[in-house]
Amino acid sequence: MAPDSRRVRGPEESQSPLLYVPCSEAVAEVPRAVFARAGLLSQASGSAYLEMGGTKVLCAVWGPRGAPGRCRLQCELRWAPFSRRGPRSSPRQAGLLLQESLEAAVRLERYPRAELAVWALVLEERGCGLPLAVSAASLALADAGIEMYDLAVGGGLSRGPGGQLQPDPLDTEEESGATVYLSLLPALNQVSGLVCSGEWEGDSAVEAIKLCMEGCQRLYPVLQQSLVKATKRKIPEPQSG
Amino acid sequence: MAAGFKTVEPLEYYRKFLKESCRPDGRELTQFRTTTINIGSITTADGSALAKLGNCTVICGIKAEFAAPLADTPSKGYIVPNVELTPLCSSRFRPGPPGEEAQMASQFIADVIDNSQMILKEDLCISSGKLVWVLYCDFICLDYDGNLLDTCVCALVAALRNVRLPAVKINEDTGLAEVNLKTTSPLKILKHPIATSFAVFDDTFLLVDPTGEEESLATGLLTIVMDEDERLCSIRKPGGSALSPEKLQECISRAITRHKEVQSLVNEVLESVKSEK
Amino acid sequence: MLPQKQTCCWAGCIWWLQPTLRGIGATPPLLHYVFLLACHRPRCLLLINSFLTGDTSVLAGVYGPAEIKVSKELHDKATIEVILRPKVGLPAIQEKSQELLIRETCESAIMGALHPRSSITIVLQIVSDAGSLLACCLNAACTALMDAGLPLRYLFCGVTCVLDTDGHLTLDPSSKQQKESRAVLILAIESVENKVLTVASRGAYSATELQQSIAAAQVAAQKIFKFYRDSARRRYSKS
Repeated sequence: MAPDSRRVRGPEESQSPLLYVPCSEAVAEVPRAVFARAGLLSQASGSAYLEMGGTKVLCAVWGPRGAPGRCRLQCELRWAPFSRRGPRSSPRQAGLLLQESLEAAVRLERYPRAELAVWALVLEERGCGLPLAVSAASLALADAGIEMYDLAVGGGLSRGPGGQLQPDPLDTEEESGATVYLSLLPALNQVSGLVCSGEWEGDSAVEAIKLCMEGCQRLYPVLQQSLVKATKRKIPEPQSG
Repeated sequence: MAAGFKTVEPLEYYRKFLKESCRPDGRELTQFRTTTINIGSITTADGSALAKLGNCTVICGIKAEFAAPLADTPSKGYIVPNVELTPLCSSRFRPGPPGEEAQMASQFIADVIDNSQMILKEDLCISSGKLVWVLYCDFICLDYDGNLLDTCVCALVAALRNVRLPAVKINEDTGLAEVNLKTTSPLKILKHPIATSFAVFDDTFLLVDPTGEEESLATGLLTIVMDEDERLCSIRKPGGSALSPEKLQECISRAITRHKEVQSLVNEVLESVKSEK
Repeated sequence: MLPQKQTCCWAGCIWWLQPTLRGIGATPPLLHYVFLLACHRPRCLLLINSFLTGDTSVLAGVYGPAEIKVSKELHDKATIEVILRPKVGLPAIQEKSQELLIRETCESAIMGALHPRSSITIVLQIVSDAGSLLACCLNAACTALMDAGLPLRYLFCGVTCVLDTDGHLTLDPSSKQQKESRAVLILAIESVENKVLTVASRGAYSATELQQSIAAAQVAAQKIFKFYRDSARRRYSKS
């Protein structure tokens, strides 16, 4: 890699020590617990932090800011260099996938000549980074007070080597099998984003999507509760009397 | 009424508080914001820490990898810091390659590591001339509210104390490295530098730990890095109001007390992490 | 309507050769000062001194106050830009850090409020490096600003102090002394109240050593300011 003149110089190349270690089998876990918190950053208009098992995602929303033309939703999703096991990766970007999932949920027509900027950062990736980022982004948009039709909730699923469908897969399970990432608008029961990778035969894909949708519906009340808590923190209790 | 005055005349608003020797957020001129350190939260990194100074939040993740040493320093490893300031933390930063402030911060951290000699690069050597460790220290600012350098240095010290490197042996026959993830050892850290930043107002007032707003209104900034032997590892004063040597001495004394506070906080957090395990 | 002087990008170039200040309280040193003036008029004045090799020299040019892009302009003061080009290679992160330091120092000295919505650009080209480089750049920048006639609150000068392993203090070191030293301190002192304007350091040192360096730098700064006055007098007495 050519040395970047704007960063401190390091060695030309480096390898991760994990390349020299025999692979270890991952242990399949039960559906992982989710922790959600909105409104934790002081500078951004809205923010949210979501944690599922080991995967940690932070999202900040800026806007609405003045910009010419129709309202644009500008999304950026990055993985931190230390977020993956194995070699230190150059930050991957997946802003477009995030944008597709969120555009269906946000009432863009209410913000003419404005721009909404969504910045999501995956601090640690242990599977399902993208769907969790979708949930975090919609929570952050709601925290910023942007008008939305519904929260876009993300869910993931992977098919293991034995053909069993594993919801909320770990990163090792994702690598080995075929995966489905889905983002759902639960109240409207509409799918706003879908990414399928690997081979899916016939009806197995439909079954996987249905399972994902159920997972998203289960996650929905957790996100709603975190929004209520965040609003209570921002607005003090009315004085009685 | 006060909010309106603050928007129209922010400098006058601050001056009214400084006359009474306090600041709008209720702090004294020599008081720091609440410091929080969280160690070891990122399991995919070899060492990590999250440091929070008031609202300013920086997360530091350290990844250790193998590399070949340079020809003229065959037994020295590398420590490569990189500070990322993205639009996530503040609207003043634009997406794209590192801007001025990020470059300055990365260079500052590299200088602090070099000057304080906190880790000897020779300790990162596995096999002289063939294999050395390279520690990539990535700092990501999550919330920018002034005093970035202090928070970064805090996070660096805490993260380095959290790093555990696996044992590595070079196989004589194949010449390849054999890594044993089960036996890990911590880094040998010789010094613990801690940074203290000041803002100068109107050439007279010295404010410790400025917030983002105070930094933009200040006439000068000063950062002092001290280690536990009361040695100055780095002083950075880029222009701004001129200071007399006596004022500099006052700042140094405050930096010494601050070092003790942060050092005891880091030790406390590490103890609690150990006892949890 | 900007006055004529400002629209034609008036430039003053200074070629600064670091005066020798070895030892505290040295006798007035041998100083070599080459002055190049390039302005909008076709003729230019050129003086070359053959005693150039072996010393640190920096070429400084000041452009401004000039027009600036709307995106970069500041409504209440001038935008100051510093470009530092190394002798060989492309500018890297270290040059950027030094540029920032020089820029902040110049910003505090220049009365930017008198030239709002304009730009002042200081270009520094390193011609040779024999130690004390950053201090040389600061001196070159200050004399260039002075020669360009920009309104300044005070003059400033850069002094490099090195501390060796025994704790001895040496001013204005050579590259060899700098490499072998325990600590290097670069101080910018201002001319009005003799206070410290900028500090940059490498290596570790104690607070007393810092105070000693500042005291030595303040004494040395007086000599440098005298040199500024003498050379300005010489320049204007010739033309």
